Amino acid sequence: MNKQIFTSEIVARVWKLARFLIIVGLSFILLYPILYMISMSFRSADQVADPSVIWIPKTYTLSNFIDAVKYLDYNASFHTSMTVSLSSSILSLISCSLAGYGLARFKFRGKEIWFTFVILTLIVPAQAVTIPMYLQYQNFSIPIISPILNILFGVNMPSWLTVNLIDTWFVFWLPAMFGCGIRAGLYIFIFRQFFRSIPHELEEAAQVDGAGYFKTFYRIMIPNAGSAYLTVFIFSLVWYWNDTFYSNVFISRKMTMAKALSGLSSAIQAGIGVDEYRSSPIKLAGCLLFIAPLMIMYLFLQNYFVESVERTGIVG
Amino acid sequence: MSKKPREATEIRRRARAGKLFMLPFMIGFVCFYVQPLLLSLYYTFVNVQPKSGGGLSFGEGENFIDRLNLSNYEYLFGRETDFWQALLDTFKNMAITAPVIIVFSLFIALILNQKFRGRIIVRAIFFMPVVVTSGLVMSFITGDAFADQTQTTETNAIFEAAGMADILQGMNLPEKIIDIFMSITSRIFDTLWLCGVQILLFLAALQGVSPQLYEAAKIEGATGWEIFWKVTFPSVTPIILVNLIYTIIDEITDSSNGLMNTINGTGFGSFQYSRACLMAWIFFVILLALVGIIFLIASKTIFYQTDN
Repeated sequence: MNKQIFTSEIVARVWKLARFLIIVGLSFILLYPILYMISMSFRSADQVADPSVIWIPKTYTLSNFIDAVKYLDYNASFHTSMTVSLSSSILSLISCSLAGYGLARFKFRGKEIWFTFVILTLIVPAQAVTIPMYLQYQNFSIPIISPILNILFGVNMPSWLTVNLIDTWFVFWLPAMFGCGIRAGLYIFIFRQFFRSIPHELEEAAQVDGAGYFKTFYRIMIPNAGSAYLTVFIFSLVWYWNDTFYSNVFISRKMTMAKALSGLSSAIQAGIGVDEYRSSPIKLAGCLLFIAPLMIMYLFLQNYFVESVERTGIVG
Repeated sequence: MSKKPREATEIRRRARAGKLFMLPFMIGFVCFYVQPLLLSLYYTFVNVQPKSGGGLSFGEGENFIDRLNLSNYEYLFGRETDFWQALLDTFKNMAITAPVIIVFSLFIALILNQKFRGRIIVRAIFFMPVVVTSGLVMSFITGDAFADQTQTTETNAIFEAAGMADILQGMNLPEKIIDIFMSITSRIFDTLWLCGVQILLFLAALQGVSPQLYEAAKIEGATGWEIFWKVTFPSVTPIILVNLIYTIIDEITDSSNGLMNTINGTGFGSFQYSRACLMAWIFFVILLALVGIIFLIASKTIFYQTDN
């Protein structure tokens, strides 16, 4: 008996050590690029290639960050990116959670087909739909009807029924509102899986109390799916923040941070010419400035993440 | 007697409510997927070219019949070989990496879900791949002129665990342990960067598993191994399906693979939009079939805690 307890303690100790090594090792791999960026972005040009500087620069300089802020037009592009990412993510969150709940909890004819369509949206290749989408936004009118009239009969919609949505935020808001934003199919899928695993008893209790379907949804389901909401919100934010594909095509005149970052090399080159010793730390400082808002937001939301999970544990 | 019609109206009411919840997506799907997809299918049958004054031309002729042009089909199903080779390679790569990514990210999520000191920080660190790989930052670091300073082999060391060995040596660990550790870390290295989303999804799923289930299992005297296969694993199967589908799609539509390069080059490089649309449609149909098969298998095996 004693021996058994002894061996199980050894197993536990060994596992703890192995876990520690795995966590430390993998964390290091993941942190390495960040540490490298931090180390480089505080160096002045003469220390960039100095072999005697290994991680910690001899002197610190903030000039790289100041330059990066200038070349990224940080104040303006930060504001633009934040506005579009936050607004589109919230719209996505609403539409996708509604759809996910509908798929998870109700029986109606054609449900399986609609779920298939949700997955289908993930598979649709962006290359196939980019040009039709552009043309649709450029002459935005009554969907389905206007292209049919145009292709089959050569009839164009009257101009008072047509708006040009290119270079407006509606090219992000409209799809997000209708559950078709960037990777929205994945979010609907995530919500469906999460709502399906919440016990039925909770809803039944609410419905016995006379709550309607929508009241049950926002009073019972939303608080219990907190972790799903946060996960989706974070993903959505990251992907809207990082997007260059759609913003290059549909809002080519507006400057988002992702676009500013992708043009950073040439902006620096136009500013100071070709000088790797000076431009390299500025670029890495720019990268840090780019991911900093996301990392801060994640750290901030993560506290709620843990909290909400603990709360659902008590409720469920 | 009076109970039956009431039940019937209840079922109908529920069905209507379900459709109402789905309504935004239904509208969006028709407007933002069905329409552009059908239009791009239409483009494969005509010759779409950029006009000299800007804009696009959809071929000569007043109506669809006049403009019909099957040369792209003849080309792709006849002479073309590069596209088919790229298609085959991309799917082959996916078949190898996807299972590894799933198993690995579940393993990591299980570790991160345990209680240990500093796990908030560690979880933040494991969010890194989501931020870094889905954006431009990766290209900046790999393309950095001075990143190869720390280079030890001919590959770029910035994304390798080169510095790891120094740290382990600094900890006065035996050489052998360091060697074993290093060989493992360098192999899982590439995989790790592809696992960000999957780990987060698994983690969220693991946290959703009700603690009562674990307590009940412990009272019954189940071992850790049994608890994993009888409680944890069945509870995360729905998310395994999500992750599998996501991984497959992410691997195949990754903009850096040969298939995407071919399609993008054809469409936006040499402005053969119709041909690019056809290529995209071909891989769309194949991917659709693959995902369909996975769902068919999954529907027979996946466990939902609250299914009636």
